[in-house]
Amino acid sequence: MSGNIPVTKPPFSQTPMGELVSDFTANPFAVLGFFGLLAVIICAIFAPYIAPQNPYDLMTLDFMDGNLPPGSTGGMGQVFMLGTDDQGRDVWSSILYGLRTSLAVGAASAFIAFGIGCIVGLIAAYAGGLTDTLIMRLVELQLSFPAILIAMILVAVLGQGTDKIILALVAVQWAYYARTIRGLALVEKGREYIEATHVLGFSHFRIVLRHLLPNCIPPLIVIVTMQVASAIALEATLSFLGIGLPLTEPSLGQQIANGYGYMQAGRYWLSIFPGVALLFTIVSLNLVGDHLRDILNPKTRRQ
Amino acid sequence: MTAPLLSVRNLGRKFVQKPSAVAVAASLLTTGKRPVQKAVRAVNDISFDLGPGEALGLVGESGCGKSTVARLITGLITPDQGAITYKGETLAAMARKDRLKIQMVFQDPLGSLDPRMRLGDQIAEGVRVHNIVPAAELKDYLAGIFADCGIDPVLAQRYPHQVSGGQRQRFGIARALAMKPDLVICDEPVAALDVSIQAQVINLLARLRRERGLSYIFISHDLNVVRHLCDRVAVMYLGKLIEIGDAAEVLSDPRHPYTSALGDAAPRVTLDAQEFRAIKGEIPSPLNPPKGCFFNPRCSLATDLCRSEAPELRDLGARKVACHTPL
Amino acid sequence: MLLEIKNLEVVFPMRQGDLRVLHGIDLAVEKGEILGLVGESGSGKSVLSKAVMGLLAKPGRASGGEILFQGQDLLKADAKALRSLRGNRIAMIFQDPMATLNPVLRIDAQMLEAVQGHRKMPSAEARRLCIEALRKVGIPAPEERFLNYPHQLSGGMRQRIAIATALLNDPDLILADEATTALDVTIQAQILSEMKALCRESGTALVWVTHDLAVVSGIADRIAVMYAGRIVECGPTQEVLSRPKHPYTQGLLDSVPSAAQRGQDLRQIPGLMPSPSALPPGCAFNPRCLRAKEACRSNQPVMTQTPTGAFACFNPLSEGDRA
Repeated sequence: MSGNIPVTKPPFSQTPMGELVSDFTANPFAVLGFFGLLAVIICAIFAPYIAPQNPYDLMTLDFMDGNLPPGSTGGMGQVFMLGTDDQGRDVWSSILYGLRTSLAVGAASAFIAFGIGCIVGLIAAYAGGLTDTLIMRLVELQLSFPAILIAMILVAVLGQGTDKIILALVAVQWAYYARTIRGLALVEKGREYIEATHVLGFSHFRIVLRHLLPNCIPPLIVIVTMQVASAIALEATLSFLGIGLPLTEPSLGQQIANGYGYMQAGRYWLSIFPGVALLFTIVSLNLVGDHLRDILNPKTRRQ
Repeated sequence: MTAPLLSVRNLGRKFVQKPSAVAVAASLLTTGKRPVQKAVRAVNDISFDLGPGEALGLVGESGCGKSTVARLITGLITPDQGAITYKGETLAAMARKDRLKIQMVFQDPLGSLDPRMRLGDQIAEGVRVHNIVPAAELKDYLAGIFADCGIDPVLAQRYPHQVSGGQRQRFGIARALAMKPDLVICDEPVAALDVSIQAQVINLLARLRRERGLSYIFISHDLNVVRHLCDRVAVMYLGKLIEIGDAAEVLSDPRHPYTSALGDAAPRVTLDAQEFRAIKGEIPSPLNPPKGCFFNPRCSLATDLCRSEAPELRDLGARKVACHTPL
Repeated sequence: MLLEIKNLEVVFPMRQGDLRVLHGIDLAVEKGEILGLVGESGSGKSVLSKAVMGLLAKPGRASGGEILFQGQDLLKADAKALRSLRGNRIAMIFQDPMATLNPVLRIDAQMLEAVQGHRKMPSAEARRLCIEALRKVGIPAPEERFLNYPHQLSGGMRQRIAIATALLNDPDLILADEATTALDVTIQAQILSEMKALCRESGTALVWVTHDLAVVSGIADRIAVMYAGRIVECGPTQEVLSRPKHPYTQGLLDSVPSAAQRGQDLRQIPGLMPSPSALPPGCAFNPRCLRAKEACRSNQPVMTQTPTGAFACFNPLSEGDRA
């Protein structure tokens, strides 16, 4: 009965969030996804410093460098790793700038939609009754239309522009958040600790913001990561269809669309590389989101 | 007798089971009428008084309505019948500040503490929000509460799932105590705890009552614990009060057959080859209670009167019993 | 000997190393005997019963010792052999009957499967057997209940169905893990008395796992008390309850309020059960023990045999201490 292997006690000062981090890092795929995502974000933020040229400053473009395949050397001796388009734009630089736009639009719309969804969903869950019914019918109505259709109609009505695209994406996504947070909040609302806050005589405002909301947030983190990915994909789709962002702010979707016409001409790099970048971003986001969901789900969570 | 601290008169609460939209539609289509709404009388015409510093045990099996009584008194749900008066004032008309004098300790300490807030912050929150003590004294005040509840102050920095069940329940008690209550409703406070931890918490509750002159309404299914902690006991069955009186007397010499059956069924450490004197049957569905005395289908003493007419709660010596054929 | 557990060790591999939750468990159950296995949460009583059933939650595993059932070592048995024993020769009843009952299947489907999964039998006969089992556990109108879904029945009824299912194949051993803890006392009393009668009648051995000494005092022939992954005391029910040797057993008995102590403080056991990852040196109970000596803080007490049982304590209670 000897040989008791000493086991260190878990650090007790850990916050629930801290435990989450240590659980998260235990999974190699999640870490991989996280670093992939981090790389994408860094590329997007520091695009102007990383990119060899500013693809949208016409002064830096040389028409002579047009249509070069990946790995070619340009007239000034610079190497175009991923090739150039017909105007001499470096594809690698375009991707970096495109990532910037795509991520910004995706993240901005996801977070605005998240905020609106949180408020609406919490109100529905906490108030209940007629308020709940009205809000949820509206949500269901919204969710019953295909996202792409709503976005197309809105863009058609509002016109093009980054803000309009974000607005369209928010309009598509808020209902999804609202429904999710309402479901979560309904479960939490029935818990005894919310009853306890009533006995302690707290205001509704305090109960919702200090107790209900923090307990609904963790599962929502998962949804946010997934939704950012789907917002990016949706924006790319809209841009591909030619009703997305204006030409002055080209996103990855637009680059794929532009290069699409040259596929037949053998200039595969114009579409393929932005496509790979888009895929990489979305897969990274989904890896992170997936594993967050696994560790946040009490059913799959190991003790 | 001094004026009661809490007085409950003809308290009643019905829960209506709303038929689903589909059921309504089906009923309208087939019979042309709306379906009958099923109602459960979770609490049915209950009256009792609680003196200052008194501890009243509320016992009964699951579904007897004891937890509903607790929630009615704390104002978590509103009665649809009768009234609760606290120090002569109707509870429903009282300001929230005065209602804080009635606090509650919950059965499940893990479920009743906010999982995402440090334990110390949860105890402090109510004190801070309602200015129970001046902000400058808050720290000392909390230290005093922790000391009283036998809590290691280090644990205040932790989250609920990071401390043991017994410690959690001490925090649950501390949270109620920090509001300077007169009356604490304890809803099965030790049922979720281990036996050796139960004793610690029972001793704590007994000591706090002695030192602070608290009144308790102590809800439990464990007759041993109720006898140990309470002055009086009220027994409930299917939403009704069936026997109320001095705890030691009622539990050692029950007059209602159900109280007696509960006592027989309670497991206790005995050395004689114990025969479980089990009463037959289960609690009838509250949706469809039996006619007459609710206990009659399980009662060996039931007469025709019991099967047709519900007994009133009447005086029987120093206690009250609702039975046609008291023991 | 029907079941003999020898020096059983169970570990849960963790990132920081193996976490040992059972330390050298020795326990024997005779044919037809009712054993009460008592311990608080964290004592390892549920792990022990799951180990016997071969149902240890992964990654937990038995790292040493043996579990002999009718002479066969269950730890070495292959999956097929275990399957043919489980539900057949050894049955288990859980605290939550919904752990055994499938919510989307009717009772008849589940019970018939339990019979026909182990024996070839015509459906009509299997049906009769099931209804007979339901009647034995005190279910009124068994033919009707047989056609219900689990959610249509009360908690007590469901637990009875689970017990009836466990009895179907006339097992040699039933493990009941806190089987009445979630039920009301009146229903608990009914089930305890029925279980006792059924086991006596059929000669089935029963291991009743519970945190409540009072529950086993009425049904068990022998009691084993567990603390922090070890059995600390074991013996005939009468002996353990009236003359406990281990201070922990005495502490458990004192923790239950009785009529005599009304108004006084209970003699509580101070402190908490240590977590398996932070066991104190020496006897695991020593930090909570009022009788702890120097030896208790440094050495692990081994089981001392008495004429009727055994205990693991350097400073056991004697007759004089209890007076």
